[in-house]
Amino acid sequence: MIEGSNNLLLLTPEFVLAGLALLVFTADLIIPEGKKEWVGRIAVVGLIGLLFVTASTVMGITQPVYNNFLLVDHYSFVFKMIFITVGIITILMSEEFVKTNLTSQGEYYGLVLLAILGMNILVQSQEFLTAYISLELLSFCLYVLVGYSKFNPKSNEAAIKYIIFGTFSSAILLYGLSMVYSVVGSTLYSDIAQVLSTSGFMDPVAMLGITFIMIGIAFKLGIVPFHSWIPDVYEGAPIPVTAYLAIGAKIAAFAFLARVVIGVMLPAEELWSSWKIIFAILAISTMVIGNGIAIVQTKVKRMLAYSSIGHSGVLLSGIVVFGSTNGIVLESLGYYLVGYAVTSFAVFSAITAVTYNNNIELIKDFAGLSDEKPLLSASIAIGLFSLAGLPLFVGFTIKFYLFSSISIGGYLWLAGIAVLASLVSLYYYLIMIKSMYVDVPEQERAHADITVRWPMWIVIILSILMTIALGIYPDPLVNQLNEISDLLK
Amino acid sequence: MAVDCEAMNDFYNIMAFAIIALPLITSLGFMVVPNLASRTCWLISSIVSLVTFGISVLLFVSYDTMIGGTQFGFTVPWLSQGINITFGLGLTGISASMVLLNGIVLLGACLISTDIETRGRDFYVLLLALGGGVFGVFLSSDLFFFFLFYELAVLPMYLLIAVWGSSTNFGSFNRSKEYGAMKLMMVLVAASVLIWIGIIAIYVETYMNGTPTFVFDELRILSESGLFSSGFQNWVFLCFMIGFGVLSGLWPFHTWSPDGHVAAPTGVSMLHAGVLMKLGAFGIIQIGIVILPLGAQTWMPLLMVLGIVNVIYGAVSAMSQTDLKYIIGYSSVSHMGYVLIGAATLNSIGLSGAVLQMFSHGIMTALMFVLVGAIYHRAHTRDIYVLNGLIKTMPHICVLFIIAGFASLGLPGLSGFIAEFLIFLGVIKISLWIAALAVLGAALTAVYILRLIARTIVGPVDPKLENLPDANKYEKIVSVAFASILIAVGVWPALLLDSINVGISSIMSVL
Repeated sequence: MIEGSNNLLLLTPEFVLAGLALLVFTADLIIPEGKKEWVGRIAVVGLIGLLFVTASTVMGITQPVYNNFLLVDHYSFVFKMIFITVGIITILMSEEFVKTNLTSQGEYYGLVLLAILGMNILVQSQEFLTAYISLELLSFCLYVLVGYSKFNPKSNEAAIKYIIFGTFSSAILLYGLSMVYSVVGSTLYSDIAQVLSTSGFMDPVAMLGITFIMIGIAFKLGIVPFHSWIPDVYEGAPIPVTAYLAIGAKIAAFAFLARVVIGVMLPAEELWSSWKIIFAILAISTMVIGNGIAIVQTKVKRMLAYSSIGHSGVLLSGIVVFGSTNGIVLESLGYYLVGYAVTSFAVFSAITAVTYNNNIELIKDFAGLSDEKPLLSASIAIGLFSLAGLPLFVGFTIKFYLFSSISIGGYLWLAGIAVLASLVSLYYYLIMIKSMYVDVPEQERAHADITVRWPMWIVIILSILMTIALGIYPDPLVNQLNEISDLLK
Repeated sequence: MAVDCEAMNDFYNIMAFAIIALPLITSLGFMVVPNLASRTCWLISSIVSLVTFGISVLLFVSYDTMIGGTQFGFTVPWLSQGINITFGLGLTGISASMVLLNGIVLLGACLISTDIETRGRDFYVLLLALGGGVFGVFLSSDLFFFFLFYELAVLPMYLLIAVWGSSTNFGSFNRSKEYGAMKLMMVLVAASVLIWIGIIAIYVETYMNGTPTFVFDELRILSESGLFSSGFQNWVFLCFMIGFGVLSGLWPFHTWSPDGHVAAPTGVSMLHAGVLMKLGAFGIIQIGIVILPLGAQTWMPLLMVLGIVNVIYGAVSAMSQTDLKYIIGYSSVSHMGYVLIGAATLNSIGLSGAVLQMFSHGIMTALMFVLVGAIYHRAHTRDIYVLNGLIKTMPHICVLFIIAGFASLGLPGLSGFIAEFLIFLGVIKISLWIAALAVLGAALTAVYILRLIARTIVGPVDPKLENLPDANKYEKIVSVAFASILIAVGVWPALLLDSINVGISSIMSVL
């Protein structure tokens, strides 16, 4: 078991990424003030290189590392590629914002890189302490990033809230872990699963421990009733960071949750059969409350925050069907996550472009945008229509695919609720679209001083194209994702 | 010879694909090309819709009524992994006439939209997306793409109405265009939720059977083999009936339709009342009845009763309206009731009548919206108490309006008569009482149409309206063409009925 499992070459992507982060921090010391965007560009080039490094070193390999503490497999490979891409896009869309609004610009990019490192290790860990440490690495980067706009009281408030909630949930996770350890004597997923599937189900301490671990993860993911930090943090954070939270951090937390459910809970059938009811209830409450509260929001970021809570609920309802006969739910979740990511980038990048140099935050402030900046408003509108699940955009296909696979797993009623939730979401997305396209602005040329530079154009145009392309021709992507379903078999 | 035949088939396959792809590609093209003037966009859109009209005629004419069934079909894998979706097109006897209808109405809607000045490009982006989506619905041969195109056709409606529409303000009665747009969009998408659930339920059933599929023909075979139990059919058909019914204005879910029609700009009203409402009835007939025949037999009595309510309620509502567009909006509700009744008879004559009524009403209501739009554009009011004696100032518009009105009240020689007559014949076989009520509905139609004509068209001329110009050349072309179609179908219904009957007989074989 120990022989041959310490092939450190398999961790090349992580070493390269850590080195890149250090390089970026060093570059920040050398590059003079006023040219700090080059720090970000170095990071982007490095990450693009990392995509190739990752593909060439770990693609198609399934092998444990460090005595089964980490597992390099197709699942982690796919998510690593997603995280790196999300990182590239986030950095590109941050450039103008960072330049205009933030001090200590160089470290911003370094922190984004370290957060990716945390995500990468998180998805391949097979052991709770490793997972916990990488989760903390991710979270600490995000705490700093959320509070990065240090002269903005809201950003400070958001950071403090985020730290308090984040550490609290980490503490709960750790407490649960210690309970489980006291029963099982190991923190490996496989060991825990083995004990749970034989005798552990009757053990109250282990049950409480598992519950606490799940609560900890639910906090990170923003599942109702552990969602209350999300709107405040999303609202206060600098908007590219909000995007990073809503896309990168959410995918990472979700990939972690799926891994824990597959590794720890599924083998213990008795345990899972009761937990999946809990997951179903959580999924429904998350979809209902997230989408329901989003309707009454007047601020764009808060609306998007609640909408992202709603999407977490949809994702959670996919987890409910784990372990049923259907083998495609994991790939449909992967497809959903990718589609959600490109669509959200279409929305967030355009909103970043609109708001980076002014104080626009209300939905009604977007009035008249379509006249002055047609492409930006088209990007937002396409993204919102896609999030609401309308074709030709990817949002329609991912929802159709996910809901079909949920139904095949025997939960047609849950899919029905999810479809209804997306109907509700259409309403508040339309309010935003109405503001941009129909309403008359209070002052003429309210958006005249927006300038959009090429890194942002790349992000916007790429997101729109991908939103349409992945909706019309998803076959190559789904084929890639198909292999991660093996995890469930 | 065989090679020739194959080559011809390939050609028609490409044409079937092109009729969907062309408007969508043009629409995307408009989005990326900067600084297009409204007029240029109008010209390009009109050319594109002329081409799609040509293709629709070609497809309709080439549909071989001797062979019947699904023609010009092809299937390519689209999502080979996982849930296994294929992209397939095919033309049946029913969809042939529906494609033709959409070809005609889309061309008309593009041509008369010359008055769109603000953000013309965006308007045509959305209008062509709508047109392409509707073609897609009629031509798809599997449930996934049927539903995709259906949602695609609904998607542009919000912006089309909210940006270019007009609000209604009668002092005591205000309806903003945003209200109409939002109501329409939310109701239609809510209806699609039911359809979505139904589609997924059918898919799950086939998946459990080990033969997962979305393809109509395969589903039909599975259904004939008795895969879907009657309990399953009953609840899924109810989902389809209400979901599709909402789109065709089924009472009591019809209120989105007059509000939406009234708020929409003329071109959009035409497409919307003319074609979009037909998608619902098409879905019930082509999908609901074929795949779920037992469910259809269970629920058809209810649909017939609701359809009768539609006819009477729509007509009574139209009688009490004072806004020209609302009158036509409610008349659409009333006329779609006939379609639903015809579908609910489940006999071949009633179903043929229903499909013919879909076509006839599509052309007729589109014509009415052209004319009402023209009147509103000139007089800036749609209040029938203000408009008077228009025949003296706008003879062209008024004469055509009278023709459309007569088609609407079922005058022999016009297409509405044949359709309604067939429906009555079908209904009589089921129940004499319902047939009597349906005929009563036709009488009520006469009341509100004649009231409308008496109020606005004849009578003394209002001096304020004296100097209004008559229709412009595009309105003339479109309205004369549409009126000729009404007359042509009225005197020679076999033109359409041949292919419709082929489609219906294929449906009848499952019942």
